[in-house]
Formats: sequence, structure tokens, C-alpha cells
Amino acid sequence: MKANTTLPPVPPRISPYAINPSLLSERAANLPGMTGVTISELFPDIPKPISLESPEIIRKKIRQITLNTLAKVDLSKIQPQDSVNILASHHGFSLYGGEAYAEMLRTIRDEVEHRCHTSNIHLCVGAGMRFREPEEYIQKYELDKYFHGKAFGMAPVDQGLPIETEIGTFYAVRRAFSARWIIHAHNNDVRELHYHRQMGRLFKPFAMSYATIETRSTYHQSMGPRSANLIPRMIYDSPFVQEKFVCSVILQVAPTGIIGVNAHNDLLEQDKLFTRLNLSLYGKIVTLLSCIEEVILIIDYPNSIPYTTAGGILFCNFVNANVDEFDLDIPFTPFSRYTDALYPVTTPLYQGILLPPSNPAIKALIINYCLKGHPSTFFAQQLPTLVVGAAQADLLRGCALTPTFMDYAIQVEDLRKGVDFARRFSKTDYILAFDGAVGGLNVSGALAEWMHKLAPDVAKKVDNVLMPKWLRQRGIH
Amino acid sequence: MVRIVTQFAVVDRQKCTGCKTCVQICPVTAIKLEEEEGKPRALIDEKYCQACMICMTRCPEIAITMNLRSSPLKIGTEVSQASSGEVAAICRKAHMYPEQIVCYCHRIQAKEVAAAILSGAKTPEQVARMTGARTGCGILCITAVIRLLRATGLEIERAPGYQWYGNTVSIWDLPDEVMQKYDKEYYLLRDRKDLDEIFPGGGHQ
Repeated sequence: MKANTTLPPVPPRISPYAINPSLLSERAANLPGMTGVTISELFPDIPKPISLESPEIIRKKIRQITLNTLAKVDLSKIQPQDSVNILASHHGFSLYGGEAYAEMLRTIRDEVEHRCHTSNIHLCVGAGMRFREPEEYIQKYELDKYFHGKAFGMAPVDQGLPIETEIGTFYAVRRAFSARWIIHAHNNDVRELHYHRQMGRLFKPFAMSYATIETRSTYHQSMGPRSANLIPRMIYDSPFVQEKFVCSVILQVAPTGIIGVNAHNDLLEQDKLFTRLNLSLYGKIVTLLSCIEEVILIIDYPNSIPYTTAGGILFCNFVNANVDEFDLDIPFTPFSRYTDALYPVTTPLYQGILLPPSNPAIKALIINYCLKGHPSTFFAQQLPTLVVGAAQADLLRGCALTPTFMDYAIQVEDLRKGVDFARRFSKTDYILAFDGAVGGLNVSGALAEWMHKLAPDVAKKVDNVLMPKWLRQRGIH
Repeated sequence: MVRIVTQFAVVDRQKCTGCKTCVQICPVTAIKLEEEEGKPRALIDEKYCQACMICMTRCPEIAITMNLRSSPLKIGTEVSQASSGEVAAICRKAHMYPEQIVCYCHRIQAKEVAAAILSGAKTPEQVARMTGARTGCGILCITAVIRLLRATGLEIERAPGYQWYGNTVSIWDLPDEVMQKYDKEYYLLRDRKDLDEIFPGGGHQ
């Protein structure tokens, strides 16, 4: 264990969705007593990441492994001069700096051009709720130039088109499917476990990044947390999509970092591979985090509150960590569990139904730095929340998605005062920063010691008890 | 719940090309095109704009900005003015409980949408004008609003622009053969059972 050495947090970024980086006076990792804990120290069996020391090395290595895996897929459907849309998601650019995902996209383009003799190749980057975000990434990684002016962002409010499926009509962003062929270029990050529950994770963008609002809304509000995953599968299986689908290329990530790229012509088969892989990659760290009984959380990452990460795990997954979300036998609240579960029980309709509260381990939530642009007021309503500085508070207050956030949160002058205050009322020395540190977590010394002590037992429990159950529930033997 | 709106969107007429993107996506249909010197230009009706900023973040010319209102706009539907029995019946038929939050951004409950419908809202755009739903992220609550409208017998066909395209399936609409076929992979029967427990008075629409 390396004492008092923190891991570099993800740097702040210039964005219309963030405060100016100059206003961020201190990062959680710089607080006295914080230390870095690597995933490799905790769980040595999790694959080591590809060593990516600089943008040049990232480009070189990611290009080579992308070419290697693309060599195994069939691109022969694509004829000379055919149009091709490479479908991407803004999420990919938020993984470990984003350059690896950008290079994977560039390499796919080059390989399609080389093997299929067409330069009519478009990059379509889907957005979540910050509709300008894809444009930011396209500009940052100069993808517009690389794709010869054929790179664009798309939002769920853009013009749609109907897709007929076995269970009815859904709607997609027209521009995503405007080409003769599509290539699905995504990642396997576990992300919103409370939504997809590791059931068809690789299909999800067909109901999200490439879909219009009603498809996304159906997924979140009109189905249960397990059954909703049928929707992206049905869209993928539709004759319309099958007529266009060429292959899927996945940036392989783990809590340790980027571990590879995998391409496949059959998304169903690829998803089975990744279901097993993700359970083994993320099961241990999720389970370890779920054992924490009291903690002060610091949000300190250029993403919206639920999508900030620690050890490769999202904050919103930590909010649900009191329930094993990999366990498909747990019938927790339908709709968006992490929103409904955080509201007070005001109706007798809930009686008799499992309705776990938000993770009771969270004694304080300190927002040091995050982006606006995600409905997050429920976090402040249910968790004691402190926001550092007037600029960050104003950012949340001025957002159409969180206009009342600060009605429930307290503004503090600086991070240290916020942590001191949180320590006093929470009476805990355990601190965990959601700052996106690559390959590990920045935590207080006391929490680091506890994690190291508990990790071996957690690993045994996951290997011997939980993994067999999770696999069995998914029909994997 | 009353929401206070302090801003409204304004179009820079010099930058506007009249492409109509903002007109097509505004969730409260507050934008129209108007001729100016022989060219179409977007015009935003301040009295309806709820500052959701959706137009601002999709305008290809970056021609839309937000301005402060001289006096705040109050948005909200008074649930107590509607018959509680009718509100409950609409929610039940839509498989929702009245207190359920349907708009996560503005914390608008199903009963508020139902009350707006009883007060005359017939489309998602009218619901948005009356309650403020649909004017945050602009994404998540559309099917809840459509389900509540359909629960009153209203036929929901198409929005005037790209705001939404039509009704989509819910778990209660899935045919039995689909439920059986995909249950093993997607836990359809078990989710349906849990949902039916939460909505004991539901039943199929």
C-alpha cells in the first residue's frame, strides 16, 4: 500500500456545462490525508490495463489493437461508394480521457475506407441530456477534420423515424440511420447498472444514444428495470436495423483502465461474451463498495452528478449499492429505481413491495465540481448535500434540469470547510472521491486501510457465491 | 407545485436562418416563423417560453440566448381544483400512482398531469404549458404524459413537429406470446407481477 499518494483526478474541462476551471480552487485528491488505492492492489486478478502514457502512445496502441480485431470481422457487405454511419456515443469520450475512444473511431473509419473502397463515411455521435456535448468532443478530438466534415452530433429531440419491431413501433434519430450501413461503436463500461442490470448491456444504445425521446422514455418509465432491456434488443433485431447492421466495435474497459478493443459481426454473441466479462471485471469492486457502512462522498469530476466515477463505478451505482443490482432475483422498484427509490414513501401502493432507501452509508455528499445537465435534485433532497462555492451552486441553480437543487443543499465557501463540517455531523473519517482517477480510487487513509483489509474476503465471496449466481441468472454456465 | 420561471429565450434575428429547428422541437410550441424583410425568422412567444433551453442547445446557428424576465412566470396546475376521484382514476388507468414523480427535473407528479388534463389539456404540449412537465431534460417524461392522456380516452397521434412521434408500448401492452418468448432473458413476467402489485387497481388499458 502506497501511503498518502493520490491518483491524478480527471482534470476540469472548459464547457458550457461546467464552471470555468479557474474557479475550481482545490481537488479532493489534494486534501490532507487522502490516498490512492489501485484496483490492482485490491483485486490482483482484474486484468491490467494497456499502458497509455501519452496521446501518441494511445493512438499507436489503440489503432493497432483496433486493426487487429477488425481483421476478424466481415465488412464485405459494404460496397465501393456505399454510405456508412459509424454510430458513437458521448459516453465513450468520458472514459479514461477519451482519446482511446476517439482513436478507435478514427481507425474504424480508415479501415472501412481501406477495405471497402468508400470514403462516404459519417461519424454520428449520440448525446444524453447535454445536447451540445457531442460537438464538444468532435471539436476536441478534431473528428470533423478527420472525417472530412462528416462528423456530427445528434440529440434525442432531433428528427426521428419509426422502426417497426416485434413488440411495436419505436423511434430513432433519423440521422443515425441515414446511411446504407451502420457500424455500432460503443464501450462495455458498466455505467447505469440500475437500468441495464447487465442484461444486454451492449444493445442499450439502440434505445438511448441512437433513439428519440419516446424510446428512451419507454425504457425508463414504461417497463420494469429488467424487462426494459427487451426494447434495445427488439430495435436491434428489427428488419430495418438488421438490413443496415455491419458489425459492432467495443472499447473494452475495466475498473483498472482500458484493456482492449473487440469487434464482432453478431452483437448477440458479443453481448454474451461481455456479460460474463463485465460481471468478473466489475463484480468485486461493486461488492466491496457496497460493504462500506459510512462515508463522506466528494463529487469532483467533469460529468453530471450521477455519472461521476470512482474505481470505474458511477456515483449513482453507489447510491444503490445497498442492493445487489447484479442479482436479478431482487425485484426492486420498477421505472427508474434510483429516482423512485429516493422519493419518500407517500403511498400505500408501495406497501409490501421492496423499496430500499438510498444507500444509508452516505452520510454526506459534497459537490466540489460537476457538470450541469441531468435531473439530480433528488440526490440533494435525500442526502445531506454541501455545494462548494458560489459558481458551482449557481451552475446547478441555473440549469433547467436542476432548478431547485440548491433549495435542498447548503453552499460552503471551500472544499476544506465543507469536509470539516461533514466530518463533524457525520462523525466518520471515511472519505471517497468520485473524481475519475484512472485505475483506482482516491480515499481517506482510514477508508484505504478498511478497503485493503476487506478486499480478500469480498473477492472470495464474489468468486464462490455471487458470480455463480449472477451467471446462472443470465443463463450462462 | 408552482414553478417559477425567471428567463425566456430570445432569437438573434441577424443569425437566424429560418431553418425551423427550434419550431420543430419546442415542447410548449412557443416558437413560430415570421417573415422579416422577405426572409423567415424564428420568433419566440415570451408568455409561453419556460426556459428549458432545448431550442438554444439545438440551434445550428447558436442564435438563441436566454434573457431575464422582467417579472417571473408562474407555472403549475392546482390539483385541489380537480376531482380527486377522477384524478385517481386517470392515474390508475395509466398504471401510475398519483404521487409518482413523472417529470424528474421539475418533480411534477402524475396527479398534476391528470389535473391538467381534466382542466382541458389534450396534448403533451398543452400539458407542458400547464404543468411544466417536458420542459427540463425534454426526454424522460413523454411516455408518462402520453399514457395519462390516453387513459382519458384521448387519441394521441403526432406532435406538430419533432417533439414526439407517437405512442409506444408499455409492459401492460405486451402480448402474452411475447411475454412467454422473452421472459427467460428479460424477466418480463416477474416485472409485470411486481408492477401489478404496485398498481393493484390497474388493469389493462
